[in-house]
Amino acid sequence: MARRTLRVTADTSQLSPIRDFVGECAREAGLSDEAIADVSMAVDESATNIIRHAYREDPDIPEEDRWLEVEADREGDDFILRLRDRGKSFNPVNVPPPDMERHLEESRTHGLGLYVVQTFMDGVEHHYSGGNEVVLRKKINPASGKTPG
Amino acid sequence: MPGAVFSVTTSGGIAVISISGSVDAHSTPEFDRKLKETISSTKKIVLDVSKMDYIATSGLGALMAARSTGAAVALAGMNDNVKKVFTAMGFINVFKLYPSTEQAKAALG
Repeated sequence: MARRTLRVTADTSQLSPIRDFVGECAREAGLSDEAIADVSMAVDESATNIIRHAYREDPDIPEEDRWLEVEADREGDDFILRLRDRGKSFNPVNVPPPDMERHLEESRTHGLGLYVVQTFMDGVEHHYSGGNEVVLRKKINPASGKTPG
Repeated sequence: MPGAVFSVTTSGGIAVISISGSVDAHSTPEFDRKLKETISSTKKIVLDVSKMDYIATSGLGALMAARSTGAAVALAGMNDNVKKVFTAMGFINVFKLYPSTEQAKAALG
């Protein structure tokens, strides 16, 4: 598959288009139906975290700069998703203890979202260089280790 | 996967909330509202999830909040993908799952 990128406003209304985009890319990369469901879930949870946190501390960032970018690519036997934003450094891999002043539901489910991502993806990394980048990896053929033709 | 549509029917003291589509962070507030509205009048709830493609952890949070009110909540018709997440999260030990709405209603009745 060729690398594909989707850039959207960092808003929960964009979660459905993000899942659809990632599902299409995963199918193109040759993932199984079950793996496609796994990556769709993982990108949804990751994107939700980014949407909730990335621009929270920067109320002066104009609407057009509050974006979330999802890049899908295949590198060897790995399906790779990169989620990028331009907010302040926020590492979802090291989520801080819940802020109890936040909505109780939100606090309760934050850790669960990260757990889903780590459970259903084969690798999760975070980088910061002028913006956040979360990298999610999924093996395309975990059983055989072969790359489909 | 599209957003979620919720519909509620009540008979015999049991409410059935049918969910179509995906319960993500965008549709969770509506899901939460529907659950709270329903629980305000009925304490036995069946969630027909046979047409639910996906539920995010935010949706699971709303489910947990509903359960914590003391209402009896059963789920019917869960697909394998959602069941996988439920199992991984340990929710399979917290919520009763049934193959059909009829069986869930019979169990709550």
